[in-house]
Amino acid sequence: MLRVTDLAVDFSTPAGTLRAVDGVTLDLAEGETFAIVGESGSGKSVFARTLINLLAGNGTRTGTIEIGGRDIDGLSKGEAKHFFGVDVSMVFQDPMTSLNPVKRVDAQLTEAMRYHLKVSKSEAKDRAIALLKQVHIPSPEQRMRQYPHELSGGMRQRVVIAMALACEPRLLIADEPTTALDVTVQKSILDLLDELRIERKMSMILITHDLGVARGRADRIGVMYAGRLMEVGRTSDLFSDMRHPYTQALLQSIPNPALKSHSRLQPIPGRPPNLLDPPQGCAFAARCRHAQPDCLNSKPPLDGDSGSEGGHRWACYHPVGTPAGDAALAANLDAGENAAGLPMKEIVGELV
Amino acid sequence: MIAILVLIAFLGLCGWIAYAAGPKFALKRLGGALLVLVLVTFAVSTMLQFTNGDESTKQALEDLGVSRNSQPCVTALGTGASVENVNACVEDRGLDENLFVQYGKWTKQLVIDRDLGLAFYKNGEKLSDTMKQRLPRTAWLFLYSQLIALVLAVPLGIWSAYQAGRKGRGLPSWAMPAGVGLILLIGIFGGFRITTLFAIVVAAVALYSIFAGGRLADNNTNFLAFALLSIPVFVLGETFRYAFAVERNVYSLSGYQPWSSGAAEHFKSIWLPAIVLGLAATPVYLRLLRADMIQNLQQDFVSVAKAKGMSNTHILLRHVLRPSTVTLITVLGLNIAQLVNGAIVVEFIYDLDGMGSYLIAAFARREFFAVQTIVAIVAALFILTNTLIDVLYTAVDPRVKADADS
Amino acid sequence: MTNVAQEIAVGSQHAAEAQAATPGGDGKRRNVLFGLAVAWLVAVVGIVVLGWIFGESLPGLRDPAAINQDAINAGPSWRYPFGNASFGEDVFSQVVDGGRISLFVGFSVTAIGIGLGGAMGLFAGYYRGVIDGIVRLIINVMLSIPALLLVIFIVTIRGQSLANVILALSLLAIPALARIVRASTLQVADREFVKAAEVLGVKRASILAREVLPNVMPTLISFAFLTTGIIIVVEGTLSFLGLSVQPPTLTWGKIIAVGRAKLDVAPHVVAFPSLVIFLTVLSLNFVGDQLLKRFDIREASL
Repeated sequence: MLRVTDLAVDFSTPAGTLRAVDGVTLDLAEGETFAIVGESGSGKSVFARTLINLLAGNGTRTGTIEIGGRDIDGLSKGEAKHFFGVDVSMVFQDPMTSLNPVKRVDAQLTEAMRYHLKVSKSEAKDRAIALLKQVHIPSPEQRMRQYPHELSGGMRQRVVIAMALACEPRLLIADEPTTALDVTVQKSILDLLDELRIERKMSMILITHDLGVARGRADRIGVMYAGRLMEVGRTSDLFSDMRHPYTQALLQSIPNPALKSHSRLQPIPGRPPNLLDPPQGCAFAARCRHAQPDCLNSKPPLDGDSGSEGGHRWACYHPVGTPAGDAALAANLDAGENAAGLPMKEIVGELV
Repeated sequence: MIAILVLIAFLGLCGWIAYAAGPKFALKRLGGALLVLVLVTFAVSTMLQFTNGDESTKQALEDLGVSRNSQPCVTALGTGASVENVNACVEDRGLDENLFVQYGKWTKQLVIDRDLGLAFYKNGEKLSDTMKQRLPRTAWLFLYSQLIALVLAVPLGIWSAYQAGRKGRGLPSWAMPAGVGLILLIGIFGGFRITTLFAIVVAAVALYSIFAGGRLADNNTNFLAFALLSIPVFVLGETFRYAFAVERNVYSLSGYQPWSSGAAEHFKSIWLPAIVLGLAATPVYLRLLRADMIQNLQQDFVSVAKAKGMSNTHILLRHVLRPSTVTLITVLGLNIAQLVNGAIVVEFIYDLDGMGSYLIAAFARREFFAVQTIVAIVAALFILTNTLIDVLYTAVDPRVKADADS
Repeated sequence: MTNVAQEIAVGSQHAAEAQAATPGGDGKRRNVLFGLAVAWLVAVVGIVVLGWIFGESLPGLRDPAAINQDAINAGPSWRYPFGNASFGEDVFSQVVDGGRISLFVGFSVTAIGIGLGGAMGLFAGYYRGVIDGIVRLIINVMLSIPALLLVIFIVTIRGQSLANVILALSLLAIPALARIVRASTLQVADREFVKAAEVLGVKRASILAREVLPNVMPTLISFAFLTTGIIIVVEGTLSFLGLSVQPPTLTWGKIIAVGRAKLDVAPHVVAFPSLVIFLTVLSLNFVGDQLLKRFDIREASL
């Protein structure tokens, strides 16, 4: 359904060129949900926006993106006009600002249908009402005539989802769709997305910083750090058999009900690298308990054991749970610091 | 007849606003406007007190057998005025009464008797006659200049805002300021012909850079607007008068022609002043529209519309321009003040006998009462227009109503 | 007129314009232009002040009213860089001489406007309540008469003199600046550090002086430049219309007003003072505009 090959996005800023997405390669099957997990600033949102051709003016993209078997660079001008928003569409983070405050719900819902599918006004209206029903908005006929400020946050996000589905996309990109919502509303929105995805056999890319959300909703997960995918694998593999030290560190830094109560969370030491001046080697090396001198020299490629199931791949020279990784950790513990000079002392986290 | 129609239209508008925005809200706004209006007119009426001379003048007036407070009347009527005339004027204006009675008398004359008073006290010309003759000229000037300003500012503002976030291409960025600077230099030392030639070349290059798009288009539009904003209207007017009426005889300063002498004659007599006034208003609208649209373009709903695959034109015109229109209309209302200032200057420069040049003449003749009345009328129009625009919002922009309700 | 219209056009048109900075922008060009603008302002003020102090003892300066039969309406030359007027007067000396009144009016009115208008806006924006209501009413009343009309009215009833011109122009500057400062104060007063100081029980007056004022200052300084430019234009317009100070006192506007009668034979008499006004106002606007952008913290954090 979606095939991304070696995608890189550069932004030219007054301070220099910034590589926000660096060599991402990804395959997504029909009907599959793929979650991209990462901290803020890891490039996941840029990646999502690039997929739907929403790069800011100072950004440039290299690498290919194929959606539904079609290379988006190979589209003619006329085809491209009715491609984004039709074959692929997107749900944004903040429903409070995603809707135009001075336009009624019906105008915002129908404009894409009218533009892309050339349906008549009354048909578009009927379809919009049907859509609002599908996203479980009560009394859709009345809601159609309202302005966004008359709707609640959850209601607005449902409208935004309905808007994204207006032209029956085959691929839906959801960029942190629940981050700005109340916890109680979050679940219902995620349930709705799941339901619609199954009903319409859509593929979905779910961008989130919440590992819990990714775990519950995604078939596969990609962990992103400093613009690179660090580890990709089926959800179960990633949580039970993680290979990348960054994935491990992420999991250790969030509360885990499986651990006994009052156990300490482990924050990740240090901070993400400056993308204007990226490290030569692995981007995570400076914060990594496994880092060895070779990690500092070259970027590890994203690959895995040839025998691993479900395409579990990781970008690490000394992965967790392998002899090489254990040896690296032991060596660093002996030395008292990793190859980048990070002290290996047990970092005491906050008591939860 | 016309007054009744206008009144009906006004009442209808008020009714509709009350219906659309809620009667409480409309009443609050209109009531506030009325209060300001009363205060302004009262202040204007009070200021006439300053025209009273000091004690010695008052004494001198009393010795002449007229009221102590008749100084404004004496000034207005001229030194040769008879005692009866002065006394009639004092009675008419209520100069012997206290401030409130004076104000009451004046407003009663204005509002109830619909008597605007005299335009020139010495020859007894009625202000209403003067206005009937002169007001159309100023009104056409306003209308044309605003049309010119909007026709220039709206497309350029949209284009400029749209190009602001895009990659630059084309000319180096210093070309525009350098070009404008060169025109100025050559204009002063090089004579008319060379300057025109050079100005045309620079204008062509500027147009190219603006239409080529990119960041530079925005920068150049913005720079031109900024420079235009800094040119005083009288400098602009004199420059154009020199270029088109003195050096080249493209515009003749033969005075205003009404519509009745034919459309061609009418436009021929007014195009240059209208352009000057329009150019003076253009940068105000342009910069405001651009700023507002850039702000709107950074909103999330623009990304959403883009993700929906809507065309850039559609997004600009339907999603971004609409909220910005609200701002633009506000500024149009507020800019009436600047327009009045500009009209006074432009009419003076081009000998257009409108209300602006009447004001100058009235100043020269010390016609306190007429100036007072005109100030009051202009203030009333200004307040009324802006209040109406203000209240109209609630119908156009749902956000404002949401704020007003809470 | 509790005016949504005016609230939306926050403070003045300039405020919204100032936010129009292109993301990024090319800083180098702006710095060069900023330098040029400051240099021009320093040069103009410097020459006018020097001319004021030293008068004709300064090389190149002559008696601005001196008649010169040999150079009637003569164009610019090395001796007379701005050319000569209709009695052969040196236009350059006239511009230097006229600058006194023009600049003096510009600066003094701005000072009065900042002092009184700033105080009004500050108190209204911080103490709110009745004070705010009164100040807003005053602002609305004063701003509902078009600037030039108000000035003409005041000069009509009070007569032409420097004091009256300054008074009339101050009546324009005070409400305009009060409105801007009020809007800015409202924003600052809403910020956390002000709330924190209030919760800690610091005296309101001292919060106003120590927390609010320093944060309103940048806006005030920027608008001081913009206001000076506007006042110079309005004063020039008044002079041009013959409503400002009485002759023979020269101002930039008056040189133009006198010169316009001979526009066909001596356009330079109008051109040079016009150019000086234009460049001065352009520089003032540019400096004010750039300062507004530089001080804008929200923009700087981008």
